Amino acid sequence: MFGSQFKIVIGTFVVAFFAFVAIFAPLLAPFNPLSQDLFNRLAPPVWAERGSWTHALGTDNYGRDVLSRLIYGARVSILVGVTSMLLSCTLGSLCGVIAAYRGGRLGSFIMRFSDAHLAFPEILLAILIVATLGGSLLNIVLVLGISSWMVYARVVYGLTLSLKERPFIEAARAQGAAGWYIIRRHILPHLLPMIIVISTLQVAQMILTETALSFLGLGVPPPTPSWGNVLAEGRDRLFVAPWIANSAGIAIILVVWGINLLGNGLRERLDPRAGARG
Amino acid sequence: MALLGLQPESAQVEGEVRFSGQNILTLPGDQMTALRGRRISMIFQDPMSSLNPVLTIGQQISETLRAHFDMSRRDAWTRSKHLLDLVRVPGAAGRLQAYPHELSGGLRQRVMIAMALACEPELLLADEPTTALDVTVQAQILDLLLDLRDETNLSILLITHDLGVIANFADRVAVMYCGRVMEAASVGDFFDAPSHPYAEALIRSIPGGSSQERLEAIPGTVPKLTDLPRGCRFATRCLRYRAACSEDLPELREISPGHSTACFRAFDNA
Amino acid sequence: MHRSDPNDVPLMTVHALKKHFPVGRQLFSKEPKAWLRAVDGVDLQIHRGRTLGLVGESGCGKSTLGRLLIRLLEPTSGAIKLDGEEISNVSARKLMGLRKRFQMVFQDPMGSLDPRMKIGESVAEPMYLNGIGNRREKVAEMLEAVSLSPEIANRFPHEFSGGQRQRICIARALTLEPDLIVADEPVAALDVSVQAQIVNLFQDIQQKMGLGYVFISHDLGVVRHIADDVAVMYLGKIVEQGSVKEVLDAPAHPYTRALVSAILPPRPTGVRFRPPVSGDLPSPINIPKGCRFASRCPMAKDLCREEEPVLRRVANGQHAACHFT
Repeated sequence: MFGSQFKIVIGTFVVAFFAFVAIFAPLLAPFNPLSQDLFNRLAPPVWAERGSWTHALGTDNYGRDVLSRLIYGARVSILVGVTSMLLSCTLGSLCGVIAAYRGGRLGSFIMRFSDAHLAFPEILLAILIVATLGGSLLNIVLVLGISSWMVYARVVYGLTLSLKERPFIEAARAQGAAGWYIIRRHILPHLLPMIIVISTLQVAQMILTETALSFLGLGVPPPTPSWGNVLAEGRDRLFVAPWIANSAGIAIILVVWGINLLGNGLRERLDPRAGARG
Repeated sequence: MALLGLQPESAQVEGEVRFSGQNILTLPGDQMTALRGRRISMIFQDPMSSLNPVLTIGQQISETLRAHFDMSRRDAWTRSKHLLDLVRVPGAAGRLQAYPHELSGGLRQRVMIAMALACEPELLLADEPTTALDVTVQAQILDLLLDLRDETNLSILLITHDLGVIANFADRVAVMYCGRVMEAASVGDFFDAPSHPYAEALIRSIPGGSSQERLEAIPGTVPKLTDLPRGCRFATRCLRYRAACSEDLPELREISPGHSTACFRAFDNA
Repeated sequence: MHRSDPNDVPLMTVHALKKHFPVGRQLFSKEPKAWLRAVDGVDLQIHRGRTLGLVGESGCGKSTLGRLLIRLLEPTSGAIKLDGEEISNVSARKLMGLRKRFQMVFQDPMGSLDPRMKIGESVAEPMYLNGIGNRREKVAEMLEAVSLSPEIANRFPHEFSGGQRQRICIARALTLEPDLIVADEPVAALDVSVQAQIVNLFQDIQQKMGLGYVFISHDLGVVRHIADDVAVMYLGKIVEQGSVKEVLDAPAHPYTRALVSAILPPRPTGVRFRPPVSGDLPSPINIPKGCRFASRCPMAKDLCREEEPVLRRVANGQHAACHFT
C-alpha cells in the first residue's frame, strides 16, 4: 500500500495538472475545438501510420482536433464536477446538520426523505429531469447536485449527532450560545475534514456521472466539448477511429484516479476514525 | 498490563516478573495464556465495557469456565450460579439469564469479580475496581474483595488513586510516580512515617479531616511520560529538592525492614 | 443558613422544582412509556458568598438540578427566583441577559473546551456572545486570576493537563463576573494531587469576588472542605439539608448517615471497614410510593412504604425528610 503522504502528493499533482489544463485551455489548445475541417476527417493520431503532429490525437468525424476538444472538455467536465459537488455539499451538509441539531419531526423527515432518495437510481432521476427540463450545462449541474446530497446528509447527520453531545457544546449553551452560532463556531469546524474528504471523492463521482449522461445523450448538449460527448462521438466510429474514444477514456480514467488518490490520502490523514486526530 | 502480557506488540518490557519463583516475562505465549486467567486474573475499572453486551451473564461466566476446565454445559452453569452466590449477588439463579445492561454498576462489578474468580486464581489484579462506582457501593465491593481474600487465600494487587481505599483495605502499599515506584511500605508505616516527599505530599493533600482549613496542594503538574526529566522524576515539584536530584535517578532502597524508598534525602536520614 | 444575615435576600430561591424526562415511546400514542423523575420537587436557597454543596450518588438528579438552576434545561414545573425575580419562564431574549449572572463549570475539563478553538477564543466566548468589548485584556486578566500565564491564549487545549484545563474553564466562567457558579463535579476527573489546587482556587475566587457557589459532588470529603451548606439528594428529592457541620457531623436522615459512614477514614484505623448499607440505587423511572430510601434503609417500617415523608426541621437550620427523626 502507498502511504497517505504519497497518495496526497501524486493525487495533488494529477489534479493540479488537469486544473492547469482546464484554466489555460485557450492557450494550450492548438485548434478551436468547434471548427470543423471536413477535408481532414478522421485523421489518425501521431503514433499511427500517416499520423502527424498537427493533430497529435487525430481528428473526429467532422475533422475537429481531438486534443483541443479534450483540453476544452476538461474545462466543462471539471466545472460541472466542482459546481455540482458544491451544490450537493451545501445542500446535503445543511440538511444533515439541521436534521441532527434540531432533531424531532423535521429531523426524521429529512433523514427518511434522504433514505428514500438513496433508494432511487441516480441515472433514472437524471434522465427524468433532463427529459423534462431539457439538456443544458446548468440543468446538468442541478441534476448532479440534487442527486447526491444524501451522501453528505448521512455522514454529517451522524457526526453532528455525536458532536452535539460533546461537553463543549453544552458549555457553549450554558453561556447562552444557541442555534446557528453553535453550528457555525463549534460544529462546522469539526465536520470540515470529513466534508473535504467526501467532496474530493464526490468530484470524481460527478465527473463520471456527467460522462455517463453525456454518453447517453442526456448531458451537456453537443457540440460543446465535454469528455462524455467526445466519448459518445467516438463510440460511433469505434472500429474506424478508436483513438477518439480511447483518448477521452484515458483522460477520464486519469483524472478520476488522481482525485480518488487524493481523496483517499486525505481520508487516511483527516478521518477521525483512522486514528490521527487534528 | 505488562504483568499479564497484555501490552501491545510494540511495547518494550524489560526486567523480570517472578510469579511463584518463575520469571513469567520469558514464558512462551501458550504457557502465558494458561497462567493468565488460570492462576492470575484481572478486573477493570469499567465493568460495562469489559462485559459482552449481547451475551447473558450466565453464558459469559460458563464460557470462561469451559475455556479453562473440561466441563459440561450443565456443570458450568451450576458452577456459574455458585460463583454469583460467592460474590453475593442476590437471586443468583435469575441473574444468570440477565444481560449486562440490565444490572446496576455494583452488580456488574460483582459479575466481573465472579468471572475473575472462576478459575480460582492465586492472584487478582484489580485496576481501580471501584472508581466508577458510588461511595456506598464502593464500600460493598471492597468489603467483598476482603472477604474473598480471607475465604480463598487470594492475593490482591489493588491499583487505585484513592488513598482512603489503601488506608482501609491494603496491607502493603507501593506509590508510583511517572512509571517508577517511589516508596513501598506496610500501610501503617506508609501513613505514619512516609519517607518520600511525594508520598508525604499526597497524604497531606487529602481533604477530610477538619473543614475550612486550606488544603496543601502539590505545586506544578505531572511531567509528560514521553519527556521525562533525567534525574528524579518528582524533582520539579519537590519541596526538598537539591541539585543532585536532577542529576541522578534515585534507586528504590530499603531504609528500614520492609520499608523502601527512592529519595536521596531519605537515604541520608536513614 | 444560620450564619447568613436573616435580612439578606437569597441570591437564588428554588421552589417545588421538577424535571421529568420521557422514556421510550409507544407505537401508537403520544404519551411516553414512562417518566424518569430526575428532579422531583426540590426547594433550595443559595446565598451570595456562600457555597451550597449538593451531594448524592450518580443518578440521584444532582447534575440535572444544577442544569435547571442555570436554565440549561427547561424545568417541568416549579419556580426559580434570582434576587426575588422569577426566571423559570422568561423569554429567550431576557434569558440571554440573565446568563451573565450564572455560569457553570463542568466535570470533564478535557471535553468542555472546544479542541479546535484557541484558549483565548474559548475564554473570550462568553464576552463575545454578550457583545462585550476589550476582550483581549479581560482574557489576560482572567487567566492571571486562575494563576495561568496570559501567553497561553494562543495555544490549544490539548497542550494542557486536566488541572490546567479546569483552570481555563474557571477563567471562562469568571469573565462575565457572575453572581453564581454551578460547578458539576469539577474535581472528580482530576488527579488527587491536582484536586487540592482547584479546590483552593475556588475558595480564593469566592473570597475575592463574593459569588455564590453550588458545588455538586459525590465526594463528601471535598464538600465538607469547600461548602457552607449541604443538600443531600436521593432519587430526585432532597432528603436532608442544613449547614455542613449539622448535616455531616450529626446526620439526621438514615441515607445521609450511610453516606457519611461510607467515607473511608483517610488513615488506617486498625479496624476492618464495614459497608453501611446494602444494595444499589433503585431506578428513578419507577419510583416506589412511600419513602424513596425505604428499600435500602436499615430502619424502614411499614409507614415508610406507605407514606412519603416531607422535609421537617430537626435542628437550627437542619431539615430532614424521614418519619423517624
